[in-house]
Amino acid sequence: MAFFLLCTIPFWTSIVIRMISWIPLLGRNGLVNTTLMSLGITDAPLEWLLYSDFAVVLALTHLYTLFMVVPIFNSMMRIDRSLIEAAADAGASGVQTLVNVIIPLAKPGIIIGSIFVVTIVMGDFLTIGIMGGQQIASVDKTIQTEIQYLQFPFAAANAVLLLVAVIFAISALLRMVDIRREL
Amino acid sequence: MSESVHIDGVRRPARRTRFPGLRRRGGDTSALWQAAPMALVFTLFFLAPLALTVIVSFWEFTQYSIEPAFVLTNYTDLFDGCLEDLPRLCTTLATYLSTLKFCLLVWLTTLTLGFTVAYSSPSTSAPCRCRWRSSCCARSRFGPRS
Repeated sequence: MAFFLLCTIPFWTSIVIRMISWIPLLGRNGLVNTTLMSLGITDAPLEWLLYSDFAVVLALTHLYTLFMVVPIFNSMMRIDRSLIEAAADAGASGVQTLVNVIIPLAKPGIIIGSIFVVTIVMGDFLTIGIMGGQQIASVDKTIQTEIQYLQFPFAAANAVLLLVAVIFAISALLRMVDIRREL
Repeated sequence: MSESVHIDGVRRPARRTRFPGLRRRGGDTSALWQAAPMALVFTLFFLAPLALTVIVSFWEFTQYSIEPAFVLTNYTDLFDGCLEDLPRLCTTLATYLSTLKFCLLVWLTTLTLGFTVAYSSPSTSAPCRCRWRSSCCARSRFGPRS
């Protein structure tokens, strides 16, 4: 439990601040580029570190990994220890136990975490906007722009379309596991 | 099963209380009342805005006004010209694909990272250096032995 308290410390600050804190790290004269250049690994600063797809994926991963960790951890805690021992007694290697015992039993947690992450990422335009340097398009940014131009019906239609896409993604995820039975 | 004494003094088996809502007798609506606050919040803050969004998506709009109507032009305008220049993606499709791409990438990274962190977190991993097989650990990976 102390481990989880440790995990929640980053959540004491707002998402925007956690996101912006990447900028001095990844910028052209940022920590990463300065270190790489002083070590002689690169001659010129890497341009793809900030305001790129990489930066967006990095920031989103940083922000939302905990939503994946907690459900998976929760379902892992429920795995009966004797099953692991039985697998080991039957001669399964560590990898075989992982693939054949632990991952199937942790599947409900994996699916629930995936639902969290998919829905949040589909609705996140702040991170894509800031880490993409306002150059990367996202559906949510389009909706926001349409609202700014008072095209409410158009924005609503776009939102409904996005909702349908998210519902499709979630129903596909829910097909993989019977949540009602597993919980 | 426990028994309860009713007003008429006759001993009867206690009512099943596991699913009170499923076995209502004599107009007992307590289960409905218990579900009401959640239902109210759910309706007020989720269903109603969603319904409004769906309704507004069929309205008409001009540069200066929004008028109640039932037209599908908003949806057709979204895919305006998507079929004509199909090899090249239109703006809407490209935007949706971009969002989906980020969704997929972030899903993969968080899944890998999240599973690894959960698997190797102090509570699930063994406190002492021992193999699964050995019984040296009182507390080992995963939950208690049942």
